[in-house]
Amino acid sequence: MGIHNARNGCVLQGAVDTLRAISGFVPIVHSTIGCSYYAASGQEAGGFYSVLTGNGAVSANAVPSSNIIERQVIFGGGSRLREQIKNTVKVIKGEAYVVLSGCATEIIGDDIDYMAKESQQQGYPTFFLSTAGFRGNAYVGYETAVLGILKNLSLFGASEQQIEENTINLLGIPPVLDPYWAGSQRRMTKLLERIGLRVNRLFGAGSNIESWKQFPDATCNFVFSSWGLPAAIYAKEHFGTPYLEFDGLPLGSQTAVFLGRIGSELGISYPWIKSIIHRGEETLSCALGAIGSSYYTNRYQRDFVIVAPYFTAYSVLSYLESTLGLSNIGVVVTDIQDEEEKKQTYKHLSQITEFILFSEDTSEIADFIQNRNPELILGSHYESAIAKKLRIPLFEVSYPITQRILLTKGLSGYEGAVSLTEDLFSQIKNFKETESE
Amino acid sequence: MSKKIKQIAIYGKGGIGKSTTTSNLSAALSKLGYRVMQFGCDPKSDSTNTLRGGEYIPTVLDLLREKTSVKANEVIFEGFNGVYCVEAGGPAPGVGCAGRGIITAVQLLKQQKTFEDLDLDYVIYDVLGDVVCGGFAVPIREGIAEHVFTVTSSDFMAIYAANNLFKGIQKYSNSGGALLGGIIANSINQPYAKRIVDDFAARTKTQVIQYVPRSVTVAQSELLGKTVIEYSPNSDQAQIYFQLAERIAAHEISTVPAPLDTAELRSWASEWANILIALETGTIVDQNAGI
Repeated sequence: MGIHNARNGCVLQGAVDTLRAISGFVPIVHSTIGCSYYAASGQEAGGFYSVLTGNGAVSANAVPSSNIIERQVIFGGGSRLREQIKNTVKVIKGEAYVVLSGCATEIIGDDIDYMAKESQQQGYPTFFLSTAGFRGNAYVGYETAVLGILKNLSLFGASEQQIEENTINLLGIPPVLDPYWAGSQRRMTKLLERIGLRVNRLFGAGSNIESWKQFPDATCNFVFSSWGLPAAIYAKEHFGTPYLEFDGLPLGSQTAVFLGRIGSELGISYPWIKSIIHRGEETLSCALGAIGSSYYTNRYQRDFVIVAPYFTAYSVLSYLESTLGLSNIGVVVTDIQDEEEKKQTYKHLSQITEFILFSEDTSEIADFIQNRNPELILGSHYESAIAKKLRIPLFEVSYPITQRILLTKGLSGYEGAVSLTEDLFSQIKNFKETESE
Repeated sequence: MSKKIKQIAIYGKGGIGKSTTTSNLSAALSKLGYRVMQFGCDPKSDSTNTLRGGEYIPTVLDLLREKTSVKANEVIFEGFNGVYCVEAGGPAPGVGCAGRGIITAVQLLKQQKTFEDLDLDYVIYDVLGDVVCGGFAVPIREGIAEHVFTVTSSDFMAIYAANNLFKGIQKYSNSGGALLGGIIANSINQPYAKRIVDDFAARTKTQVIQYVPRSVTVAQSELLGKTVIEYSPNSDQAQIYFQLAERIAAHEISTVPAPLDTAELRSWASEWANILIALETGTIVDQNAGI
């Protein structure tokens, strides 16, 4: 079965993106030439530059790789990998070196684990993760990377578990695959800190191996998508950490429900939470009030279709409908593959919308959109063709995003809702002007 | 005027006698006046051993390991009676990918138009027993061998392997792959063994092109690093190989085999088990069975 535009990528891609988003972690790819180049995706929208590992050494297209050629495929790539690891540790001072397998090296059965252990014994914290591309999509890559780090924490001399009061880990926001991940995570962290919680900096600015060593000490894990579930389950079984599941990051007024729930689960004083909710609602209302009068004249209210992974689709859809008054006439969920999970998701989504499709195929999605005939698409760059054909605006909200630079914008909380409104309505406003020319 | 080179692939269960048969076939064909190349496709690289006085030649992949490009004339060695010998080679056991090695080695020679330059009549690919992945099926793909001969004894495991091979040939037959020339029945000393193989050939719509008995002559010659054709050209065993060579020289049309499915093969096997038991216990009396 062919897929038009494999937007969900491969396991290696997801693993490389995830590891590069942690300061101090150095992925070393053991695969054929080109894998690391293509796997290192997403720079302007969702990229991360590690200041710790220094000077862009593990950023852009500078991912260390064994770059094997035919000779290594036939005779084995073990010695090439050994050389690559040796060179990498000399050039990049990292807190953790993670050797990742590609398709070719797994097919021929290279003993990569042995090479990683050899490096570990030489004093460099190194471990191996099986990330052959053919094992699945990039979301699985994210899952594999997170779980892999947790399983190898003992390599870093993780101290005895000490439960830190009110410390939270955020799971299920995959770096790069969610192009808004850095901003969303930052906003969510700020929000939780305002209600007295401490958030482990696992990805992005402020992240390092110490944060990961403290992962087992959390009082609770927040899981914002099903891709964070395996890590949460592992933490429950091995560290006894309970977890709470959410349908994506809360956006706008969903934040109130979110805060209410964690408040009661974690025993945080309700008046305190209530005051924060009140302040957020006020921010949102004031902002929306400002565009209230032009709402109708500028025709911001549109029938829209959203194409995104579930964790983005659900919260954005809910916000646009319940608060902004736009009308959803179709959802394409692009990330969920498991049949059982699709059923659960369908049940949940059908409470707020009617037309639901599970697909990652650009052509199939384009046909669906054409049938629904919306006035606005929220999706990825791959939806630009159908948007052009229908002569409607496309607002990029899911991977891959090419028309916008995302450094600080997040799709979470009250502020996230306000900035989404700003950007979305700006785009509609500008589109309208070009149309009338 | 370009000559049509006959390209043949020899397959069969590991240890069944492919290399022995192939080397003797190559030697016999060369004695009959043909220009022959034998191409060993096994990481063990021992196919052409007995054409070279027991000496192992450097393999294609050995050379590729050292250099990025290899000329065909660096990997072709002349053996007994001018038979050209090539070994594909492969990685050490437990590492790398031997299948990929075969693909690379075969393509290398193909790209360099080696066979035309040498004015060959025959290229015979001797392929290792367990065709465990795509690479080992490369000799029977389009543009390489046109005729496959499978070596089998009357033992069930060898027949099972031959049947599996037929499935592969049947599958590749749609995309221009090699077709089945027939069965070379090896280690056929008892009459019942001959009948088993004959029956299998009939059921799978192919022919037996030669019956080769076990012989101490083969053992002697191999221990001396020679083919029977070289060591004892006037022996009975040598005549068997000459006859095989003549038949293959005359062979023109190969066909699509009709492999048995698992259930059919199992019931075929039980039928024969019952016959052999009956012959042994005297329920059926058959002086000619040899039991």
